Amino acid sequence: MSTKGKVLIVDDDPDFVKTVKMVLLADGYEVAVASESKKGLEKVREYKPDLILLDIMMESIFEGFSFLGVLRTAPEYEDLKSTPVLMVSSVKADTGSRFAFDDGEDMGDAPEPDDYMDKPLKPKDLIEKVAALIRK
Amino acid sequence: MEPPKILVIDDEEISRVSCERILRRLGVKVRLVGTGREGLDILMREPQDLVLVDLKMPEMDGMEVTRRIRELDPDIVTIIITGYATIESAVTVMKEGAYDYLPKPFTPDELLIVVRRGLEKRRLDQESKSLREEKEAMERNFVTMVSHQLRSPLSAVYQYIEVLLSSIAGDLNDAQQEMLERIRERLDGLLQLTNDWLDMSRIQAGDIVHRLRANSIGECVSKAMAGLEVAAEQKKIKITVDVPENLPPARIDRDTFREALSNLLSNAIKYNKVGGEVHIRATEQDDWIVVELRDTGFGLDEKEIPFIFDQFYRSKSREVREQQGTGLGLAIVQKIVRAHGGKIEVKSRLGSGSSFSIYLNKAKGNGSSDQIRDVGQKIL
Repeated sequence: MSTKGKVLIVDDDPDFVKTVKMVLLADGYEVAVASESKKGLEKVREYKPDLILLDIMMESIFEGFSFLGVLRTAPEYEDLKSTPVLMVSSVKADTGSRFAFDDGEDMGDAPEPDDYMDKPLKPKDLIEKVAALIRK
Repeated sequence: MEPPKILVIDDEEISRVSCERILRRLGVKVRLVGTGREGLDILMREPQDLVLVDLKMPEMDGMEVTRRIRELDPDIVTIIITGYATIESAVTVMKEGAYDYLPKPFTPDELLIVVRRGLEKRRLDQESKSLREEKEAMERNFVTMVSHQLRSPLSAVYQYIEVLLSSIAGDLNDAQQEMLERIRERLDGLLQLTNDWLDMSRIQAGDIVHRLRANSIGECVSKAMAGLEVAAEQKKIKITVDVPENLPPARIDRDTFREALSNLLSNAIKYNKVGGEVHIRATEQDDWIVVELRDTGFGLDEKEIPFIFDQFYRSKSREVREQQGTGLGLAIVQKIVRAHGGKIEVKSRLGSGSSFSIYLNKAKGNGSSDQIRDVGQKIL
């Protein structure tokens, strides 16, 4: 059976992973999981996902951004660098105020994800965003 | 770890060489120079941990060298070697910032004791400096960390409920469905409380002042409305906006001001009757730009008005208590408006609605010159 696409989830919270995976599988996607960025980068190469769902804070506070930096700029990821990335985090408040880390130097040239969502994700919103990003 | 670096500044070669011979026992890296000028040159290019300076030198004496080292980097430990040790000269050099002094002639052990102590001080200074920096970095990211720690478990629970409610994990009976919906509602309240509480601690008046720019009210209003359209639709509330095209810009920090507006608007919707109205109007009054939100909601008892901006205060009225709320929304609004150098006014009558007016400073000049494109804003 052909699927709607392959999604790689990079997140260290097993409960988050489990629920997102259920939603995506139920909607006809194929899903792979990595619990930290190093394994995640290996999986990108192996699995060649159509979309990466990436958490910001894992072991370290900026881990998601380091992951994205490698993916977008490292020569060994040249062929995969345009894989769409949907970044997720429970850091941002939902009022629309941007919750920047108060550290201009660290954040100055951080790479931008294709889209961003706040945790908790609502199944309907998630499915819509994923479909839109994969179509792109 | 790198060995400590010591610089010896002495015009007499014999003193320099014997210092080096003794200091080598400490396993340190020693450099020797004959004049203060050469010494300062080295210090500018290559930072040293400790400097031994002879007090009596032609051209630039030890006193002057000590003074200049202090200007260059007050963390460098300076020890004065002096051939004519008097209490006066010792006190004077210590006043110039020297850490210690050593009278000539001295034994190798005397030199080693003084230098060891100096290096120990240097090590402790460096250590406390790096601890201080670490602490500051932690404080900077504290709100972010707390936010993450509090919200992560709540998010995980919330998502389980969402999945259960979407029937992906199997069908639910009506009673289960209803209970889960209640759980979700209570959890929403808890998430909102965490957000509001974090906002309260995150909003720093000083930061807002730095970000005040000329901005148009209309843009802020439409952004604030964007997140609340669904809520308004659900209660069939009609929102009208009256912001004149030619209204001058006000001095606004866009992110926080939008938050203040959306808090007020969300209240105007939440504490309104089904099918009610909210009217947003902006006007120019002397040096102020005034944004007024008027609603047809429950209104407030006059006695309550003095307290509504207090943290965690919630109205005693039954209609208000029936709605989820944290009692922080208006406290946040007031904090933001005050940081803008503005004020907020409330008019209300029980049963017939409330009106909140935010007074903002008009932007000076023609506004556009003051406007800055926001470069490098990051989504997080």
